[in-house]
Amino acid sequence: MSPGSPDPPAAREAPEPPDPNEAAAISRVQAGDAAAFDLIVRRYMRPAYAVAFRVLGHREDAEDVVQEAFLAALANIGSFDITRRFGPWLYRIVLTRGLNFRKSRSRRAAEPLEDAGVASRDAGPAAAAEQAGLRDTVTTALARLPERQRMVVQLFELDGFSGAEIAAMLGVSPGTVRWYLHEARQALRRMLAHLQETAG
Amino acid sequence: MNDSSRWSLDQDPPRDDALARLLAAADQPPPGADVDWERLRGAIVRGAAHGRGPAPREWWDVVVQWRRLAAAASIAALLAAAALLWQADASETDLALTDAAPESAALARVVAAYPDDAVLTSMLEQSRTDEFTSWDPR
Repeated sequence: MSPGSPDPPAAREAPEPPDPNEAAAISRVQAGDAAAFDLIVRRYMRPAYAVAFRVLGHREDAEDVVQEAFLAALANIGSFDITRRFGPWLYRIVLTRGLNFRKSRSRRAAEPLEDAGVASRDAGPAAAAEQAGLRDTVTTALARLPERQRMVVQLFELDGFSGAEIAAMLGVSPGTVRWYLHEARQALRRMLAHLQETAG
Repeated sequence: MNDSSRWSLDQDPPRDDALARLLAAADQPPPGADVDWERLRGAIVRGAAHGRGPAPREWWDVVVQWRRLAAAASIAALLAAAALLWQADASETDLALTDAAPESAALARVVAAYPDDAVLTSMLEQSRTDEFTSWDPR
């Protein structure tokens, strides 16, 4: 949170009920059905990867953390309450493991921009330079945000997670997440106002 | 970008498309665009089947990950080998130019230290004139 900001307000919401098909699949996994676990993996590996990547900023590390998180979830599946949604529980594991992994990874710098030019290579040099400038400006603005605000705004605006899902990941209330989102948006709009026309 | 002044504790705000487009510009390539999802899924399921941690990467994954370091190491090794070869060649030339019998040189230094020692002087003389001679037992 930015200095001088008031404490984020707290709010409580009833958790969304799980999808009945998902609850049935989890029950089968709890009974040892490997095919049901495969279904769960297919359904959740992409959003789980998005969470891991937001924490780590590195593809291979994010893949490793996703693998670890699924296996940890499987190891503890017996204690999972099937009246709750599986996603937020898994994302919380991913986030926690991602943060732990990042602590132990200080030897290797994040390489999120390693292939950053890929998308613009087909464009002309001027367009590529403009794209690179835009990317640098936005990246710098994001880097100025407190980490929780940065994660919340990326997970919400780019990855499509709901406030409640992000709240479950971070272990805070949905109201707090919305407060972080509000603060992050305000700061980004200030910093990126001059790019508004470019963004259309 | 959308009006920023309205927000609610009780429900998520609508997504801000303009802001999302700007954020996406810093997110190229998008996370996951270069992930082999089938390989990742297979690794997770194999790991689960074996009841252990993440499945080890296949050898080609390791090769791809380390290719840049391997290329740099190969170039460094080539340069080091070339330098060693060049140095060895130069040393060989030096050796050829200064290749005197080392024992004779050592003996000469001893004699120089003891110039009046007749035994040492005779040994030195003998070593200089030593050569194979035919042996005649008669």
